[in-house]
Amino acid sequence: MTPKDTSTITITITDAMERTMSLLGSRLTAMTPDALAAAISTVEWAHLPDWEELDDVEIAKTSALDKMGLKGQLLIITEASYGKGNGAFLLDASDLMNFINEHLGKYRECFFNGDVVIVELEGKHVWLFHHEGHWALADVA
Amino acid sequence: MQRSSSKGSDDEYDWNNDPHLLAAYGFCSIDNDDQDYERAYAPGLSASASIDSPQPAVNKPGFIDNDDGSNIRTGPAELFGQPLTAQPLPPATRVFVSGQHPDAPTWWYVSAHLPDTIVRGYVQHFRVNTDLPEPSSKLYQIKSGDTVEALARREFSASVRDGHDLRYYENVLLAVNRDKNRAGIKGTFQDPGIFGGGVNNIQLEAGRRIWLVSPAYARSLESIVPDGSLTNGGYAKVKRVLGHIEDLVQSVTESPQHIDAVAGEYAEAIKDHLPEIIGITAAFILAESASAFLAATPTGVGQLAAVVIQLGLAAFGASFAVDAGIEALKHGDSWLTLAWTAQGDAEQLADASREFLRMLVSIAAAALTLLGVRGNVDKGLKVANSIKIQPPAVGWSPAMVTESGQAIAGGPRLVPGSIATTGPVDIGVSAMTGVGSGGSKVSKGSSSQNQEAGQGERTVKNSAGQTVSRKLVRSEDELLAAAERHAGGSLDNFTEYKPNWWKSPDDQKRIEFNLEGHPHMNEGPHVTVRVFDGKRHRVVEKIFIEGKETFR
Repeated sequence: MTPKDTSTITITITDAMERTMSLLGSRLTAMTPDALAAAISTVEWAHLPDWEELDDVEIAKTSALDKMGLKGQLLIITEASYGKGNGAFLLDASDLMNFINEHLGKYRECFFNGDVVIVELEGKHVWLFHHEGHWALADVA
Repeated sequence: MQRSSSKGSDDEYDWNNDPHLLAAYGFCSIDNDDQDYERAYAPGLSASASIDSPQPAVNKPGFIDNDDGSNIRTGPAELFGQPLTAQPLPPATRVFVSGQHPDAPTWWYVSAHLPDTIVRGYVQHFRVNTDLPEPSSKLYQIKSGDTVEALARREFSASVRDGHDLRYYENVLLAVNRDKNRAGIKGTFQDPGIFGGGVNNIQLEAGRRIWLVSPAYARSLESIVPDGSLTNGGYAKVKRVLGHIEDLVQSVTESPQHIDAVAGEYAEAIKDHLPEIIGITAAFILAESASAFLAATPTGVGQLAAVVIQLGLAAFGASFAVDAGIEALKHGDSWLTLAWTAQGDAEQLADASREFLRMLVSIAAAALTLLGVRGNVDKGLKVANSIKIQPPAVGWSPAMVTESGQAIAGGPRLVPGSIATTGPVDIGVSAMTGVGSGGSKVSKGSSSQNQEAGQGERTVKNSAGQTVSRKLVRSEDELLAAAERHAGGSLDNFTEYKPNWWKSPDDQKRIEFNLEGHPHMNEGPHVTVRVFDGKRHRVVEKIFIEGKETFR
């Protein structure tokens, strides 16, 4: 399977939560930034003003998501993950920017359309985007 | 030139000829000219559907002039535009064409004026006839049993006077429709000088349509009918009789020329919706042009301004934005007075257009503020799919005697109308209280119904340090009531797709009902309402509990 194909692999939100709980070693009530931040001891949030006026790639670059150095397989939950037939997305970190760029066309809504959760399954980082326009990178190792 | 009225024409890429496709896509068949259109017509079938943005074009009044009527859709059928009404618009429906589809110019964007509703959307251009005898005329579908005498009596009886009995007006109908090659009326002119004599020389043909002109226009044809020719300059001679109406419509349709100079930071918001607003306003003016309150101008001008402002507010989903009233009314009055007295003067009409735009700016600013949307967000405003109108009317109060025995003479009396919307506009919670239609519906039996009566508004700094307007309620119950009101009466109407988040069945609206708040953003319990703009669900309203705006 080529790296590009991995962008379309989805698992259920429940499966994604179980894998994330396994990584965190603590219980989660939801796969949302609020719930994850509550489960992780220290999360420092940064704010992105006027994020709704930016397109997805601009948000990713402004929040330095493309420079976070996320590696390996990523588990991603966007608002589209809760749409019919969708779920949590599994893809290689090298495909992240492509996935963000193509999200609006594929799922008919922006990648940043509210909450976004990105779990680095191997490197044990979690990147969160809160629907109020705040983002954070947390180390869960 | 009369339009084609043949059945089974090239209707919408044969969607209507394939019942399986129709059923699969939920489209209405258009082959239903035997139905009772008024009964079958049901506006708001797809009230929440999003209508494609039109490109400005045409800007003419017209009528549906096809035996099958016309479906009115969110976009072209071939681009999967959905019908906006349960049944097609009936033949002879008044429309105002103010645009065309950006990807399919043969689909015209119209505001259709039905008995108590203005519906906007796309129709096939060949179903619309814009070649009106005069702007105030209307197309009439002849029914079995109709006679030209009965029609003339109904339309012109108030204008009958010595030397011009009903037969004069029958001749007018014949002359006007002969000039437009209408097949529904045939015969020869009757001699209005021979009262009560002769046979009926003019016949109607049921099932066809003819033009009915306004009494003012009919009277203006005295020197032409029955002997004169409308085609040999006849129309030019009487054109200015209806100049007021033409000037009014022109001041609206020419407004796009001035938008950049006038609208300032609201230019984008208004520009995006100008074809819709032009269509709604012009359709209303033309439909009401014969009414008493407009005919009575200049005294009727202020009343018309008030109604048009209410139309604009309703279109933008801000029916109760009373703060817009004073400023908008000032510009509205000025617009109508300038247009009404322009007598075709181009410079004055340009001034009128600018005042029309200034009125729109006041309306847009009020609507945006009410919706909690920043002024320069071009997609912040949505326009209602349809607007239900009970137009104001001038009635006559009967003479009466007061309790103290004082006699009060009867007199003219303005009967206020009402305006409500259906469609994708998102209405502020407090704004829609008691209206009961549109983006929010009145709660059905909720124990917390109307508990927002004490709701206030406060300017605060949000978690990002920005100054924003927040609505405030007094308790968790009221917060729930606000959420339920936005969900059409109950959150049960929506689906809870993740903790604290609900979405509407069509996913156009998402509501966050959060009694905990966000500790990291220092926000207390709140309701956030988001509406989809084609890319994102943008915040249109945020409500907190007074005294608990921050996290504790």
